[in-house]
Amino acid sequence: MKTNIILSGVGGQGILTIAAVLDTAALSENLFIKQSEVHGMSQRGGAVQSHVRISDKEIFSDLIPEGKADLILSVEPMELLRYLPFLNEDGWLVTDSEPFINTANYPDKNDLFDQIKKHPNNIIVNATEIAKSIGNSKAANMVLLGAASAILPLTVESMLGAIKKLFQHKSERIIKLNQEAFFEGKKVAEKFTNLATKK
Amino acid sequence: MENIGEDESSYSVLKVSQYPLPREKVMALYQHCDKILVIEEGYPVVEELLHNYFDENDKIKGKLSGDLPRTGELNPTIVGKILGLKEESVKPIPSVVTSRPPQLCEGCGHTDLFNTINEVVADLGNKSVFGDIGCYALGALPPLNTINTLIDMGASITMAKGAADGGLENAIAVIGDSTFTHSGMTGLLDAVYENSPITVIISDNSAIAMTGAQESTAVGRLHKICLGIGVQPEHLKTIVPLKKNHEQNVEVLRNELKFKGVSVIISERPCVRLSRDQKEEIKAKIAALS
Repeated sequence: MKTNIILSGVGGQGILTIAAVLDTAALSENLFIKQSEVHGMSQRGGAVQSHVRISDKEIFSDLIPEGKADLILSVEPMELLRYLPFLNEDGWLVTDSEPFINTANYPDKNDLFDQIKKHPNNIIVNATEIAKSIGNSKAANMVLLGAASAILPLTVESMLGAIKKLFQHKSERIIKLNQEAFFEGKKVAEKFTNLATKK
Repeated sequence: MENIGEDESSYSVLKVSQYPLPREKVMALYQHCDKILVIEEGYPVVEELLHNYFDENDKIKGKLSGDLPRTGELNPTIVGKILGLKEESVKPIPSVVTSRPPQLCEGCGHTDLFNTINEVVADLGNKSVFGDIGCYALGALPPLNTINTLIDMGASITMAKGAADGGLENAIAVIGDSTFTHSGMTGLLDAVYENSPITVIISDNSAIAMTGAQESTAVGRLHKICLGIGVQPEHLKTIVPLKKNHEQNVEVLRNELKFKGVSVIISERPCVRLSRDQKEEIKAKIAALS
């Protein structure tokens, strides 16, 4: 078993927090993990990406080769498409439908959705709206993680445990909010029947 | 290893993570193989050493031989190609995707300062703005396009001085507070010493913002440092880069450009990334120093 995941979005959207949840959960299940990331100046509204590889055997490269990603999980629709060359034949695309517009020439979002829908395995979720409805739009990243949970090689319990561990230093309320966001995302994704049959 | 996986039988692999090179192992590999591909990040150090060991033998392949690219990071896709492995059919990035370069934060004081400079420079018609290293280096890129020349820390002042001494009019240096105390002060002393006609703008956000808003050694000290270096008090100005002060700030800059000696304009506005507590600490520090 080896799962290659690309996480993407814009600086500040919680991409590396998703990576930390995956890492922590994978370690708690005694799996091998390699993760790398590009951030730095991206804090200033630039593109951020992280490669996460989870396996039950030793992993060599910390970078995913082109055409080998099983999942691209994006907190922003255009950033999802930026990493398309990495997706494998029957890989999954999961993204928030909410664009992050900080450039003058940002494309029409419907053009982005058209491109995403060209791939059979796609899940477009309005994660920001869902997160807002449960109390904090910042939890959109956890909604998306929940939406992708059926594709991930990790148990729901270990991911919830990882969320708890990572937000422990904040407050019980923040832990609950993020866990709820995860469940809401999971619930929404269950509507995608082809996903339900996958696992 | 990513590419050849656990099947090491077809390749002899020597992993080197030391210097000097393990001579015996390198010799054994060399004698055993028809061709050696050196895969290393950064500068081709090991490849060059092997060329030296084996007299420029073309058995050694890598970045110097052009088999691997000299620029950028290596990754499994690039290495897989040179090993001649089957390439995956890769989906292209849809043309609808546009680039997303980093930019100054919303509400950043640097932006207002650059807008002021842009208005003044537009009338001058020359490219005379020298930048420095910090968040404000983004002023060299669209949409601001304020900075014309940018090299390294402290060079805004020394480049402006050199250009002004060489005859460039209206030379402006833009430097942050922490870069100024790191390596701008020396250049300013030279400019004062030779009375070079430059205007130095210290964009003071009271933080080392680019690397995460660490403490700046410049806090509360900029005026004293400039006066101590010998900047004339009447040409040491302070502005606050806010939209409402725009006209006034444009006037200050225009006036200082007319002065044919060293002017320093300190543009004061705290970084938007600072927390309320950090801002309070800075205020207390300034009060204690004044």
